[in-house]
Amino acid sequence: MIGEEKVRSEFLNLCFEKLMMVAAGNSGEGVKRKGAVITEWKDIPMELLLRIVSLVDDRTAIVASGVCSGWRDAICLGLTHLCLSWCWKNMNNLVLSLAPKFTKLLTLVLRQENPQLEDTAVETIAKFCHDLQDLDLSKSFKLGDRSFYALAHGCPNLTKLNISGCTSFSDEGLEYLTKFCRKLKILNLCGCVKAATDCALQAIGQNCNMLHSLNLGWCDNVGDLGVTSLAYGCPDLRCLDLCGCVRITDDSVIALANGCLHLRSLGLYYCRNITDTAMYSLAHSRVKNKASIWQSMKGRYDEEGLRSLNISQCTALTPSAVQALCDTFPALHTCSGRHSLVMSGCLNLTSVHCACAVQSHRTLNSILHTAH
Amino acid sequence: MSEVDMAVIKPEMMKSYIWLQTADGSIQQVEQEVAMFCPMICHEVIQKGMGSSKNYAISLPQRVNPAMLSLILDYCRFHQVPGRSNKERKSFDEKFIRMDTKRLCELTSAADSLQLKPLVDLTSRALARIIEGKSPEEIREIFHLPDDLTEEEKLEPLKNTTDDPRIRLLNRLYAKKRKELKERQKLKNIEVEEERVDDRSVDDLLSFINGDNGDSKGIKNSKSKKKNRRRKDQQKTTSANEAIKNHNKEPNGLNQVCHSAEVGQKVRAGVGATSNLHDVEDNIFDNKNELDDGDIDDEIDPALKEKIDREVEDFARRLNSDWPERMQEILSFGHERKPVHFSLNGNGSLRRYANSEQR
Repeated sequence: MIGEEKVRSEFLNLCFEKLMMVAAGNSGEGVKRKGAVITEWKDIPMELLLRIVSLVDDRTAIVASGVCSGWRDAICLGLTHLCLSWCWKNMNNLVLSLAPKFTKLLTLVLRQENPQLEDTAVETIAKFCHDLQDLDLSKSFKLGDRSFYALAHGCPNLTKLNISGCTSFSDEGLEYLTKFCRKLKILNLCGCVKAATDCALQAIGQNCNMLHSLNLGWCDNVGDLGVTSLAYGCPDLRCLDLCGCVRITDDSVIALANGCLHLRSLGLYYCRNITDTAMYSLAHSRVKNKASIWQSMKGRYDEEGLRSLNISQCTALTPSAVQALCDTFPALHTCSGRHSLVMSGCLNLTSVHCACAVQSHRTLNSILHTAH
Repeated sequence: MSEVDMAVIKPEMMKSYIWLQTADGSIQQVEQEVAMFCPMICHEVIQKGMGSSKNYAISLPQRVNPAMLSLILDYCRFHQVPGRSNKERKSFDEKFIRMDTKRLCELTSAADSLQLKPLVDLTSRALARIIEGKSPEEIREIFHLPDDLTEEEKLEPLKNTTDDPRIRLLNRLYAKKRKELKERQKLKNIEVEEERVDDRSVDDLLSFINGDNGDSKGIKNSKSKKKNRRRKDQQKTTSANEAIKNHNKEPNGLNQVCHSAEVGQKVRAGVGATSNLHDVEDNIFDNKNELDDGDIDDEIDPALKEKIDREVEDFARRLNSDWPERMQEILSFGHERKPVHFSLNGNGSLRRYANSEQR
């Protein structure tokens, strides 16, 4: 990687040198400038220029790529991260003109405040930026399945994809994408009602086995079938947000408890069908699998297990179940400093406390006693 | 040999020195603790045992010339002292960085070749601040880079990065200003060649040229509009031209633009007149721009244009980064720039007629 960069920079330096000879030869009035050009430009090798460009904002980086051919070559070969969210009107055209130039992009953020991006832009990205790993297309209302088909073929190395708010995608497109982008680790489908269906989740469970994080917020077409396939297909799942997925029942949570032993964060906001069974299954799986988990991460036992759980508006839960859960997972907290067990709207769960909250309560009591 | 002996005999009396040789052959000795601050020199001394005497001087990379070496050693000399507070170091850095762009480039390069990371970071950040918010033309001017991209390549991304119509207007004004400066230069050259003093007013010249080429009435009408404005401020033009020439190097275009939006109109008319004297290419380019912008800009009356210019400048500055950082920059760069005009804003805050700060 370093060797490659060195070779690249030497090659670029050579190209630049040749260019300078030509330019110096051609320009009639360039006699005085020639000396100045060579001294200054040569003083900044390509890696340094890239380092300087990495310190400026994205817009300046784009402007810098249009300064001279040497800078253009350096930046086009070296730019790996680009964010175009500051663009208000012309993002589509900007992407169309930049994607062919910046072919080494690894991260591209195209989150929009007002929807501008169209399928043609994504197709262009897929055509040129094959190394792309992280793509953020959130709030692109105008995008359709054509983009998915393009990305499937053009960007197989995608590990992080955010299409939250893209309501025009369908589940067929998503299924197609998962067949090709198998390295997906982080997928955000928040609000993609049409795309996140049980069929799509089944496809994800089949194909994207390295998935770490999935956001299915407000996708009310998601049901037990989908989540169950997901749970058994993606054993590495760490973060799952099912907030607003009202059709989910205890079966989903039981499947998750059994299949995803590394689950750290679970969101069940507004999942009204969740009952104590779900809570007990989560606690039980932890106890049951203590031995195997202990083996795999000896020092980090306390870090594993649920760290964050949102059961707001799950009014069917009772305090004993949730308390059992809280006791099983030491990383779940109700104390004000590290609040991670969120139970808003569950008026009967006010008695549930994490271990540290109880401790401080106890010490307070003992102090009061000795004072007497 | 004898030097080595001396070093052994009087270790307490003599500080140990390291010998360094720059690419041009000159050798100098530097206090050991100062030189060892540079990782590359440190490596040479420890791994290869070099630098102990004149014959075994460490040869420094080609990018380090004696001037840069002395700057770098100043930096090392200050920072290798352990007792300094962070505040002291920071203020030293800020003062240290104040130099012209050419030296800054050389320094960055030299520091990089010596692997002196803190200095590389410092200089890179300074260069990044210089580049930020500038247009490609300005960057080319500052770093003396060749203008070797095709028009299409240059215009494409720029066209789409400027979303705000007022910033677009600013860009166009800049482009025009550049052209005007070029035309002025060419005009100067041609005048020198012709070796005659032309006392005729621009009006006469214009009518002479128009009469010769048998231009259609249409062009005459559009030019007459500009003629009227020109007649009003002919004196301003000449003085502004002097000012423009003086500021040729530094891109303080906005300075001029804000003061004399009207001049912009005049000089453009001047360009229109002189373009007939020169290459057809220039003419076409001018006309193309006239066609593009003429419609819009002719409708904007100069007073409004000035107002828009000021608004653009405000807007551009508001888009910029932290104000405190900016203030620091202004104060630290202050003595280097040409006279910078300060004025009080409506709400009492200091306002600076800075150069291009477009975003």
